[in-house]
Amino acid sequence: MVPLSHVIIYAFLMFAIGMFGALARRNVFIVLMGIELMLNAVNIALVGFSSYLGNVAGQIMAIFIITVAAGEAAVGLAIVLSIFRNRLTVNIDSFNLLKW
Amino acid sequence: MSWTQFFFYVFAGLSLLCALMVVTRRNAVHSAIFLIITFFFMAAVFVILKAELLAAVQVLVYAGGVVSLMLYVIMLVKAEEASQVKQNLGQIAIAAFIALLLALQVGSIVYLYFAQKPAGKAAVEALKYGGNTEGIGALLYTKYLFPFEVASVLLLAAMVGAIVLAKNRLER
Amino acid sequence: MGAVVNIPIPNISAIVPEILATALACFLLIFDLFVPKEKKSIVGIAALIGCIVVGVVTFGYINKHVVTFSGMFVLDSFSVILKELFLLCDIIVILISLKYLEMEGVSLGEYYALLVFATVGMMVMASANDLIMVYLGLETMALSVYALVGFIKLSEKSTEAALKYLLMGVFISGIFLFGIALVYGVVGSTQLPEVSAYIKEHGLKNPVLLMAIILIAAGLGLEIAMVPFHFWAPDVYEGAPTSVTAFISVAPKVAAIAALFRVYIEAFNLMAPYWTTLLWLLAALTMTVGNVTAVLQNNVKRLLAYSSIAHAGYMLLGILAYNQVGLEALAFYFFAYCLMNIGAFAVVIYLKRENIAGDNIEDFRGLAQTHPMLALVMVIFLLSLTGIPPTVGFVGKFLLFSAAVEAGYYWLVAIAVLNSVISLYYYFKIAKVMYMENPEKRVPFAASIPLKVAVFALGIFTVVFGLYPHPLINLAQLSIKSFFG
Repeated sequence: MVPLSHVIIYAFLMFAIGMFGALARRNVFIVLMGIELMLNAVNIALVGFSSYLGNVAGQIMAIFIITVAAGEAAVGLAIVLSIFRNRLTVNIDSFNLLKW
Repeated sequence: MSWTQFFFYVFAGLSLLCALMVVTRRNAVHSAIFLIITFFFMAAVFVILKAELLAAVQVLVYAGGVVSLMLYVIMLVKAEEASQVKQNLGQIAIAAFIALLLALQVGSIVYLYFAQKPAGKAAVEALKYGGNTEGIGALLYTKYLFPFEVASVLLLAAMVGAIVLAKNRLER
Repeated sequence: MGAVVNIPIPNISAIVPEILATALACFLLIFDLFVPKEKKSIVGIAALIGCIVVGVVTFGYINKHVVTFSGMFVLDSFSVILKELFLLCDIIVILISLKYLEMEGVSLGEYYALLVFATVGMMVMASANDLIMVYLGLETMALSVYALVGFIKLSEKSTEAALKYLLMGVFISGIFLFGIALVYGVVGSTQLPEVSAYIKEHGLKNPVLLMAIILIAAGLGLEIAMVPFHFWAPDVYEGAPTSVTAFISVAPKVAAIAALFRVYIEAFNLMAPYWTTLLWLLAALTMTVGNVTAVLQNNVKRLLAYSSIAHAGYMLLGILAYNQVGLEALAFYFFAYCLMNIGAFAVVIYLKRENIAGDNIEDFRGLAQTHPMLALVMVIFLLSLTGIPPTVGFVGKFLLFSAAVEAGYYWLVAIAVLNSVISLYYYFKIAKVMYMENPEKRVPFAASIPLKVAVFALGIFTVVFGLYPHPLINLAQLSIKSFFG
């Protein structure tokens, strides 16, 4: 059987890669993909815990997370579309009307 | 090392490699293709960890739904131009630092806590109801009934929001 | 063949408010189809009536205490009070939106439906007894709010604010989820009482649960606009339609603070020494950063955004105090904050004219000469936000600070008082522009009757509850039963 700690390492590496993508990239689609990877890393951790504890609650939570991620992607892409109609670009750098 | 363990490392390693490709490609379409492959390898890991239903959901919803949607939108907005954008090296360094710091910091604590515990057990509910899918189904409609209903409201709200935003310009 | 699954009949009567609110949102979506384009405010009026009905029905549950749906859902006085507050926010926001949406050219029925969907999410958060319920409620609310922020599709500012909010929100929700996953990995369940029982049995020196506490604070901290997760707030508040800004500056913040309170008190009560230290730091930082940055702002919406960050810091005092008085003060402050903050944003909407957004501080110039009543009401809101009697904000701050003193947080209260003094400066800046300077030229305002009703009613209630706070205090006291017997 796979040691739980190795599943955890796997989940954390995936989380770090996703986080890197979300923070480092300027293309809004790749930022969204990075965030999807982060959510998937959580799913890996949940499945690992679930199969270590022998209870399916973690898998059910993972299903809810997938549901929410799909909803988030839909709304996010809709916003990207409406920005594109106004601005004709998807580069995060050019979204600077509102200064930090 | 058993065969299951061996395949776990293979699939986990491959999915991490593909995930790295996702966040480093210049072209968003290439990233999306790698994302699909990542999800397939992840689904294989889920099968090894005795979460068969989740593996199927992963492929159907993520690879089949979310990434396809992304590809459609990428084509609609002609994102190839965005691939010409220069990346800021300082930002990349900071992002890598934050991500690694978090992974190492939190990861090492969690790793030490859970060290030497085996995963890969089939869930009790799954054994009781005769399979992973049956176990999840049974729990989803009993203990997790309320979250299930809230998730449906969430999807409705997301759908309304997405349609309102993506619908073509208003006729005044 | 597997075993037969017995689907239990849950206690549906406990979730009647949520069911009614969801039904209202669906009704609004369908009703919208039958309303002609130029008369969409009828949908708003239907939403208004619906919210009042749901509010009245919800009030009937004020003294109940039910845990149902296998421990997922808890109905207690605290949650009912919060639900009433969210519906109150809805009612006021609908009143101030009716004409404003037409002026922005986005008078659509879906606006009201999304507002009610967001309310359903917050109601679920208020009653969540399981971390996964907190997450689902939070996301239902957040997804509706992202769409509302980007509602003015032709405005670059509005859509850009929506994208910033969404990217931040989804990113932080990933971190929040990791916290939930860690709790699940350690405890084997995410239900708050079970987490508490686990800590009681296995001791509180658990590094993974400590991590989870921090990650959960980060996840909810985004909606609270708590430092260091605050920097989206000014941009989103400025870019969003002003009526939506009024909504998100109050309702989601209150919902997230209430959820944080319930999670920390119900699940991690034994680990209080750890999370009080964390919240102490965050509260001090949030107040100070919010107030100091607000001083530099010239846009009233951004100024109010930083001021609302500071107010989140004050509200954290209520969680920190972690006693009966603190809870009572927190519940009272929620209402006070709702009245005065939405009031201030309603005045900004009042100032909106053709081609003038009404959110620049210059737009307030000489308001006391052209519209003395409106200037007076704005001063009332500003006094209340500063915490000067005789306003509801003073009573709220007094209760919060005295609860924190009772719990022994002398230094933090000193910082909070100092911050209130700083806030006097920038609130006074608006008052000065209104009273000491001359108006440029007379431009008639296009305020509608519902907006006028909302602004002046909020002003009157801010003073009335400041002079005679007992009805609100009595209501706030009911919430004590939920947590302290």
